[in-house]
Amino acid sequence: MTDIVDPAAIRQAAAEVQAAHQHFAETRGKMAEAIPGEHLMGGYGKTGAYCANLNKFTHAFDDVLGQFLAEEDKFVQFLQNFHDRLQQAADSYTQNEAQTTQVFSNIARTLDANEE
Amino acid sequence: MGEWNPPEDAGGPVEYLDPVFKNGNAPRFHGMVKRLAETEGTSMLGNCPPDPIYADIWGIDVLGPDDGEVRAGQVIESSGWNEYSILAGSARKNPEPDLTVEQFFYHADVLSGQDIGVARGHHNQIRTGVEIESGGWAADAIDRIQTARAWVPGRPADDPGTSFTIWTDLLNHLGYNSSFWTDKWTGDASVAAQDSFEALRRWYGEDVEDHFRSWGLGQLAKTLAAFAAVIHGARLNLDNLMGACVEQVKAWNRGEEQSPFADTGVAWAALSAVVGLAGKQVGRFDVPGLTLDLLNLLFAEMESSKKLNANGCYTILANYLTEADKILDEASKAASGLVDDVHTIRSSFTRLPE
Repeated sequence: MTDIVDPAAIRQAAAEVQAAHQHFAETRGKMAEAIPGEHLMGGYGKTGAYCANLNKFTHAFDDVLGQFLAEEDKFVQFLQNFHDRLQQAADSYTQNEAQTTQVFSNIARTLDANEE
Repeated sequence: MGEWNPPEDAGGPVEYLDPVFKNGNAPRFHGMVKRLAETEGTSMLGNCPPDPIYADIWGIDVLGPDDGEVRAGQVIESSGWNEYSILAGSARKNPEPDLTVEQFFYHADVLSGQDIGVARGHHNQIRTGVEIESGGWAADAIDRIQTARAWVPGRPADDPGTSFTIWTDLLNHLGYNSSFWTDKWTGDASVAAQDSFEALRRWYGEDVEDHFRSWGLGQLAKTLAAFAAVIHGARLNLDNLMGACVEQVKAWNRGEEQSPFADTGVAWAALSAVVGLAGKQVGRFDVPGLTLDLLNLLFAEMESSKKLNANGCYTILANYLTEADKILDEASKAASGLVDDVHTIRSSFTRLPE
């Protein structure tokens, strides 16, 4: 069975993946600012035990959101790689097509020359 | 004997507290405690102390009270007495005070600095509940997490959000059943690309109700809101406790035997009520962009009241410290419960395939 290749459609798919990559990279960047750090820490050190107990939540939240973000990084990177592969495939097929066309053109020119 | 009204004082240990205390009951509480701590200028100048004191009455012609707490303006008919600060609970044997002004603000200090929003102004009022005007950094962070979610349950169908639209468009174009893989691109390279995308789809999810970003991030955002609610609730409790303490001391100074909060109590947030909510559907809680509403919903879950009963000025003050300790104990327990919630969420969502 002959494979079907529509470089324009692949290029269109690559563009969609690229748009998704840009969007989710942006939301990932915004979400990174939801890492609490010192935003949720209170007290001025006079009552260390209570401060430390309350801050346990901040540390746990930092940790788990950080894990989410690490996976977001992989997700965003996947979209970037997927876009690159699609784009390369489309370019490769187009290049092959151009080379094939060139070959046929050369053959045609040779034949034309022979006829003359 | 007129009403005893010590001046407010927003300096000293109050200066760096969260606005919820500075704009609430802390200045009048500080002013009162300071006056109760100072006896200089009142000693032996007359028989009507301007502030409550503890008097050790040694005169032989005692017609007034025995040794003990004396109200502001109360006549002591005696030839003399030694007086101590009301805060000097051990004054009977040791004139060193066993309560200090600063320690009355340690609890508020612990509950200051968390950037979780601003409560509605309530100068010298005992609030009936938590009302916040802005959610601070916490609300912004919750919104950022919510925005990253591909789908939020309860969101209008005609406004599913950009993340949802982009992801579903991508699924429609490149998903497992898409005609792209049969009509536009076939062959070995196509199969490899399709398999790769399918692995991502399974992780990221196709079901709008149950996939990584909808569930995991949504629940995580809930724990952040719950933590903010715990701190807001603890602040409400402590600020109300300060105001109630002032009014209790004033009532004692007027000679009233019953605490004004013995029967009706003061509004009080049950801090542990929000632990575990992250795993449940809480109605409107799942609607994005309504962080303040979400917090108010949580506050409704925490609604409670606290009855305060105490006899004697020193006991009222000592009870303040006991109850304030309890507030921080409960806040600590609630925070620990939310830590467990966070870990449960993490262990429940699907891991990204390698």
